[in-house]
Amino acid sequence: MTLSRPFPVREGGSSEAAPRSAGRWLLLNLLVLIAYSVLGVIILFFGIGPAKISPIYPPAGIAVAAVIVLGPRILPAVFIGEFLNGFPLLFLPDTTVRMYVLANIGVGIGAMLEAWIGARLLEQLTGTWHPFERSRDVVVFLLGSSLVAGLVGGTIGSLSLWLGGFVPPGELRITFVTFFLSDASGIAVFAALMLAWVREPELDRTVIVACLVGIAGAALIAGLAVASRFAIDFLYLPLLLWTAFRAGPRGVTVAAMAITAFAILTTINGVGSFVGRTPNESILLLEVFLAVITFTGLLTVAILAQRRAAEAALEAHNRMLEQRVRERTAEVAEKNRLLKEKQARIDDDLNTARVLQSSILPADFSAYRATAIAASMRPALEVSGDFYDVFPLPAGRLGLVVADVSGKGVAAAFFMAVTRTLLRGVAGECESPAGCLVRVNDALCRENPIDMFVTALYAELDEATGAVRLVNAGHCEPIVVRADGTAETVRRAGNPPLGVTAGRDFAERSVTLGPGEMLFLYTDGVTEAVNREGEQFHMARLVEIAQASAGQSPQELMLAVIGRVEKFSAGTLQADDITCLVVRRNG
Amino acid sequence: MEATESRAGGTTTLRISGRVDGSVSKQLEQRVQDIVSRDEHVIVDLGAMSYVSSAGLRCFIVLAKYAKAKQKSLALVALQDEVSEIFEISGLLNLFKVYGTVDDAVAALPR
Repeated sequence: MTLSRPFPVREGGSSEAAPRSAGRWLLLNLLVLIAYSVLGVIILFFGIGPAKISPIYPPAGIAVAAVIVLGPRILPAVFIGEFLNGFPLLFLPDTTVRMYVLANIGVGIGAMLEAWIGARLLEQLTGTWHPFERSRDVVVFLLGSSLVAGLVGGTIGSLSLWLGGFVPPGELRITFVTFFLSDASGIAVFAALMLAWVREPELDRTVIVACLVGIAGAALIAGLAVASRFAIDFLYLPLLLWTAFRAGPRGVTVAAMAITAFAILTTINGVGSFVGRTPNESILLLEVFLAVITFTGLLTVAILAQRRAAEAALEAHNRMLEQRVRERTAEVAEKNRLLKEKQARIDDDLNTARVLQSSILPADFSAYRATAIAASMRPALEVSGDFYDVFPLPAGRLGLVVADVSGKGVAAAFFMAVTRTLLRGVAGECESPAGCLVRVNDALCRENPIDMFVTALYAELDEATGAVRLVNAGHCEPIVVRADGTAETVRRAGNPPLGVTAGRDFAERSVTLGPGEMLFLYTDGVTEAVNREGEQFHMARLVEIAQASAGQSPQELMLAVIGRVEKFSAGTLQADDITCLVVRRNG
Repeated sequence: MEATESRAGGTTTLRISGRVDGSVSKQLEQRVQDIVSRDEHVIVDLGAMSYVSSAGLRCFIVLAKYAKAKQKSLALVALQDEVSEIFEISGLLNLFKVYGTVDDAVAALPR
């Protein structure tokens, strides 16, 4: 039982029937009675043989459909209709009113039972009153509502007639079979017709055309059969299937009804496959044919409906999948957008960091009268771990720094800023350069990420005398360029880098710059620049350049070094920051 | 640079040969860090190390700090004169225990 296809909710079904619904009840019963009686008269024209027995009894179908749609309250109309439909019996000789009344009360009761059972079986076994959407429902409708109900009606009806004395001796069996099968085919054709149209009453072009073609086609086939006297009844089948494909349950039930009518009419005319040796044989053949027609037609529309339902389910599934894909795509696009925004913010921050970093490196050295200074720092990444610094100290001294933080990128740049600030902070207060680095080293060791340390060269130049005291904390050896065109390195004194071990003493070296002599500080980005062959730039080349630059300006020496390194490492990616600081004592 | 390791008990001996410069320092650093986090004692045999650049030295400093933080013992053995001098003037020798041979280093391990 599916909720999407319920039995119709019937009004007035409850015990407390309102007075208003009494009139309605009467009206509905009257309408059903009229339909019942009209059809009862019409079938007289479809009677076969001298007894004018119709192979199909449409009122049985009207009754079942009416009970299904309107409920058992319609049963009085069924009883009265059936009672009255026996009126031809009155024209038989020897018929008494008493015989008629007794027999037709029985027939009427049989009709009521038949209609009620047919409706109940469909309701109970399928849960729908539109049994055209699943092949199983079609089978239940034809076997249950039509055959089983017809069997009940046929049994009671034929027995009543027999008891009333209307059945000639020896004809009870054939009377029963005829009664049963005509009721069953009446239900199969007409209940199906009613149910199909009650469910979908609205008319559209396709359905109207299909129905007209079904009726006209059946008439044409019948006409051809009568005219040619050929048994061409098999032509009804393609017509039936065509209406099933074109117009579903409504089309196929109209076609089945038309085919039924014309098959009977041609048989009455003695034409076609269903003409038997006796009228009863003809009736049986026709009934088998009607069974085939209704079963084939209804099963076809059910299978079509199932296929459509499957297609619809598949399409819904596909739509759902597409929707999901669209949602996911949108999600990904949104995440992508957020990532891009984030990346843009990071780029922005990095850019700011780079600008900040270069802005804390002094660039204007024009204030220093006794010394000429040139400096440059070229980072390998956006932000650098190298830095240089120049600052005035008390007593005519000048502080000079070149340092290289381990690692690169933001962390190194941050560590660099900390180191520079610490060094500037203590430089003026220490009694010696070595003392400065002891303090900076201890401060850096106190809270230091595992892989962070900094090699540094810190020098203090007495501008008046040219005396330089320098401390090398694990850094490259500086070069002194003499006036006579020689150059020498200042050897390291065994100090570790800053930030490695706390509590260390640092040893100093001292040199003196004569007038015009230069001190060249740099980082290992210079000496360890690599060319395409993997060879390092090396100290020897640097000393060579320094010697050749004797007597020139710091700017010239610096540019010569940078130019040579650039040329040397052409075609390779700059691996490390390159920093130079050149100081010349003016003479 | 080549680096081969041999393992006995909780002690790994890493033998480094060739040049240690910026091109290999990152890789060497990661390798020794893995060993240090795995084993109690690490002996680095530098007998065949012909050259160490300042980038190479940085790698040894990181290792010394890492071993100290993890409280593992890290010893250098068989430093060539030139390499020893570089460690010396760079102020790094006292960051490590330094021995003449691998056997000396093993003998000095706490039992």
